[in-house]
Amino acid sequence: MPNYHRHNNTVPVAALTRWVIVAFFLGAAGLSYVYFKNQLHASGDEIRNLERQLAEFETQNDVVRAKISQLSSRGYLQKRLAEGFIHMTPITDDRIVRINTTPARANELRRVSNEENVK
Amino acid sequence: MHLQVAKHDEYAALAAEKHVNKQIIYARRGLIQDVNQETLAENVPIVTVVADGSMIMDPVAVAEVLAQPLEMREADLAAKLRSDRRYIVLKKKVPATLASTIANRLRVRSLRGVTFEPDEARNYPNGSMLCHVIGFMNSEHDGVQGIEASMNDYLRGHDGFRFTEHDRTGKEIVLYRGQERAARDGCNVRLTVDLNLQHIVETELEDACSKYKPEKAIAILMRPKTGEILALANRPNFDLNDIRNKPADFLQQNAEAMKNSAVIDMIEPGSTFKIVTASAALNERLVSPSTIIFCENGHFNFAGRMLHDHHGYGDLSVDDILMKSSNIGAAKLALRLGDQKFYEYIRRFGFGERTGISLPGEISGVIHPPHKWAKIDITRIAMGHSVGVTPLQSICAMSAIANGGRLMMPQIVREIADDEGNTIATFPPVEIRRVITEEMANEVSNALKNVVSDKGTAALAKVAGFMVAGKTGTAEKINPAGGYFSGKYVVSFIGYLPADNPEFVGLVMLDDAKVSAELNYGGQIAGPIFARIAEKTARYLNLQPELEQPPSNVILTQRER
Repeated sequence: MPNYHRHNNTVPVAALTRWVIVAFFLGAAGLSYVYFKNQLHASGDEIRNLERQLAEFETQNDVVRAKISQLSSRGYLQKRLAEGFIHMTPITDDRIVRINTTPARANELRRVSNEENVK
Repeated sequence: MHLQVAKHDEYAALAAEKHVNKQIIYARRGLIQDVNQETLAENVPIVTVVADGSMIMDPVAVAEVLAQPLEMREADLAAKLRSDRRYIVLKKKVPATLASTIANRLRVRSLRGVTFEPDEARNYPNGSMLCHVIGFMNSEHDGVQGIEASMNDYLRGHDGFRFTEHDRTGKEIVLYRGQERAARDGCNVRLTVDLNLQHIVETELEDACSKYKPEKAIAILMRPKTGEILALANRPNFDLNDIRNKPADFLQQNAEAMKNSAVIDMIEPGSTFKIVTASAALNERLVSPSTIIFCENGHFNFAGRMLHDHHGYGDLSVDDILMKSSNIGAAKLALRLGDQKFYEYIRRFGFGERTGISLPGEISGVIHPPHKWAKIDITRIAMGHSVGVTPLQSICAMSAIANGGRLMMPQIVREIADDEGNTIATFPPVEIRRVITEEMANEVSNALKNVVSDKGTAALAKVAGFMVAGKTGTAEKINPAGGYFSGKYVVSFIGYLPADNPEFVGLVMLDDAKVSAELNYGGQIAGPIFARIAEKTARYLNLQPELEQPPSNVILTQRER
């Protein structure tokens, strides 16, 4: 007797495989989406941290720059001079030797010291 | 459907309002520097500590972290933080380094709801030095005085912005950052002022103020060939760093000290104005330097009013009129010129108009046109009375003589550069006009050399090793209620050196110096101050002495101990 149901009970491997593959790809795509999304958020957090660190460095830089300006300002140096922390001796006229030089032309650049004489 | 379609726009807007912020990216204000790029004004980062009450879960813990560094009582802080308000200002002007420490402590304890809004405080490393020129800012970070005000558009820069979204905990979602525009930092402004010369001027002016106790004192140094201001100081002065800590009415109460009198105050110049009278008469070739003018032996009756000289003089040459500062001689020179011509020369020297210097509030002074003059006015104006001029206009006029008759626009800003040091704008010398011929300028200059001689009124303005030219001025002080104050004078000296090739022109002016009447003259008070400033300036500028023998009064020009 012929088996009429044999064909009907056969597992539709091809279709199943197709759906499994589709489901796999959909799942993989979904997981990838979540993974990449998380990665993007993690990168975003890292950017934010780096930006914060950069801002902190810039702030520290500004603070230090302001401090340098303050400590090298004329008023502060004058105070240190008065306190005797630094000492300056005025140059008296008898210590100045003037060398006659021709007046500089407009826009002429000259060296501060005469290197040839130093040699 | 109702939520997603029918009222989509309305709810999307509500959601955006809840989660989207427009974050301001603040631009840094530019620096102000002197000619050698020494910093005169800079920024110190500070923050405003702000809390969002709706985000704070544990007010007591947050208050515990904040109380000690912010120097606030823990209980008061906790009470403030218990509010549901979303914007609670806890403390302003907190140093940025301290804020950074607090932020780290909050992060470690996972406490949320406190933010730090960046801000800047302006710092002036040199305190009161050059205060009237640099100026200061208001609480809105806009300049209200000095260069801070006049160059505000260059200095302030442009804030940027960034649209951000945050989650329900207040944390920014970087992924959803929206439109962004970077901040453009302000430009740096470099002045023509040299802080070394400024220090010389300030020190001498301070000494003079301690000695003579004037109501006001002004000193200016200017390079005549370019119009660059090398130094400018006023007394009384103030510390720029004190302004931000003072109450609001402080500015009103101390308005006089904060006024840059060199450009805002109007004075009668006195005899320094005689250079205008003499220059005009010489330039019109009505007289020569040796033309003799009869000076009426000290009493000249004109239009029913008597004009006096300090000493009675008979015949004086035009040179001698300047050297002896004869009022009658100057009046007679002006009478030869006539009202209209004299007025024309006054205006050509730049009086009655703003010089155009980049400082706010400059006034033009008052020079009435001839049709408003009374008959005697021409004789009074010739000796520097009945006119209102600023000290800056006076030094510019003298610079025109020193510069061969060419009037230059005074410059205080040398260049503007961006934050990377690239030059954006420079301010080359500007010749306003030729006032008198070079030949006549030299003639006037020769006469002014005699003023600073043993025979002239400014023997004490001599500088060792240099030939100085200049003019003294002594004017009675105007009473705002009318007339003049008795026994109060504005004394001044304007001079330059080396006389034959001037490198700088200096002005010293003292208003109501407290000295006896017989000493209250420009040559006696302002002259020696000028000499001390000029001597140090010449040395700083490395000017080569031109005279073999030092002048006879070299001892007098040394600083009095």
